[in-house]
Amino acid sequence: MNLTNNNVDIHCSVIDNYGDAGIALRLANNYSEVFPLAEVRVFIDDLIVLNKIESLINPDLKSQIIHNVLFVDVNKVDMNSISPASLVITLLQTPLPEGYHQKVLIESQLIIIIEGISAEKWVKEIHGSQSYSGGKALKFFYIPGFSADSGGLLFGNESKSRINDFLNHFDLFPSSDFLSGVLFHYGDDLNVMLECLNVQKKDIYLFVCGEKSQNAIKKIDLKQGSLKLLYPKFYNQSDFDDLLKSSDFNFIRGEDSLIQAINAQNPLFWQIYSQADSAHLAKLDAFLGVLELNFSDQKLFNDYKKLMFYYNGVSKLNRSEIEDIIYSFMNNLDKIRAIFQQLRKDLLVKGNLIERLIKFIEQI
Amino acid sequence: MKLAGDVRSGNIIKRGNDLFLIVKCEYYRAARQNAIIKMKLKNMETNALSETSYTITDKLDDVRLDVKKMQYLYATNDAYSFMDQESFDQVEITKEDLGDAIYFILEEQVVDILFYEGKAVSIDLPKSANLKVTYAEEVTRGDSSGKVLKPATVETGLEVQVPYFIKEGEIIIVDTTTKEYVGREQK
Repeated sequence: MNLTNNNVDIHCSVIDNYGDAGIALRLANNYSEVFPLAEVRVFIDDLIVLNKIESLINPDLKSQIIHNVLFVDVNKVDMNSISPASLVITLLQTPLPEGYHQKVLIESQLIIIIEGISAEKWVKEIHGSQSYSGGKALKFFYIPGFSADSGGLLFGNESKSRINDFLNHFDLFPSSDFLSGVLFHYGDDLNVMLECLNVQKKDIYLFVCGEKSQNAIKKIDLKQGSLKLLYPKFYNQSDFDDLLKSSDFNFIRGEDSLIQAINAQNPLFWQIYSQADSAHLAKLDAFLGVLELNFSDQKLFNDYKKLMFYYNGVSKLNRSEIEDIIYSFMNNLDKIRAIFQQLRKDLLVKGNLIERLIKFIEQI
Repeated sequence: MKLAGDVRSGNIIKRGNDLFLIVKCEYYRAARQNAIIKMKLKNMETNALSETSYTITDKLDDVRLDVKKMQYLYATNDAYSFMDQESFDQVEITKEDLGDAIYFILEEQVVDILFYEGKAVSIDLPKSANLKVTYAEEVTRGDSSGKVLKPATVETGLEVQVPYFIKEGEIIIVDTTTKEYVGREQK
């Protein structure tokens, strides 16, 4: 399809805190880098959240241009008066405002619905499938994922490994013989896991990120041990990407964090967004299926899988099982890191989301 | 207007000036709580088949057709026969037109048959159907795979993901839109 120009409207409704806004910000920036002359607009309903991950955003303004992208607060403008771009992208089924939608059907050429990532088999059934817009504009589903027949992953730019910078902010200047990690998790069920991390040979500096995580972890009474809990201020998107890259392991949650943790190529555990009817378990299982292909040590993978299920509250483990698995995990960090390095390499061969999206549009 | 999440196989929708029979609906659980539905549609004029995907909140123009209560008698390889209980007239609907509705009807069952220009075209299914489990995998005690559902087959041949406690011979309630397990029939 030949679009009359490369202008794009990206629509995002913030539901699960930072991830939704994070994806919109990253997509807009990636798109703008590819098409620097295009008008890239993000229509979003929560600039306060966006300000957390992009500190240049002023949440009081109706609209503002940051790094060549126009951000519009949909709560403060009359969406009915806005002329839509030739390409309209809605993230995670964000509904288009009615008056604006009617214009899109007539004036725009293409509507793309970008869904959440999944490694499930159904992705190849839906990715690229056409919907009926009810107007002149064509409408398609675009599903990010891991396979060649999915939409790929929205990786951020190359991040920097700078652990000393992060530690120095806490007036910490440790010797080289230490480990660091990220913990971004909703829930208050990690006592035993943290106690196991607290009895390791090397000191571990664990950056507990996000207010909910910090509030939950602060309630845990840990004895003095190898685990040093750090409660940083909220990191913006770029700093958080760098922190994931700088750490030896990452316990993260949500989609954008998962993708950037893969981009960081460090061992990770993923807390998946919980869905009704436990639909998220199939997604978690499918993701583990992707990883399993890269593990040559089946015992190590089985342990990894058990801890992943435990981390997601799917299955229970007794203390000795958690101790064994954490021991195995900490002693195989390099081996697991190599697996994630290979995974990222394989994914990049298939192409980043933005490259695949542009190719997809060309082929319509 | 009807939400895409509320239509099922056998319904007729209107797009522009064309009427389409929904032959098949496949549900896919996307991110958050939303689902995507892939529909196989048959153009009522040209008989051409096509596929379209919708989000469950997309609004569709549904079409009201004439409805008659009829009893499902038997099936041949290509068609299903139904009998008007008052006039005893019989009509046939092709297996292709019935699509996935065949998984929700049992012999002798009285169903709502939809007529378009005097011709029987499909069944208006109820929201759910009670079906007997004819095969269900045994769950090994202590299975720690994390799976909470297992595949089961019901008497019409449909495969449904059911909770681990469902056994062969039990009657389960299946959503005719999503083809998903809803619950167990209470004895």
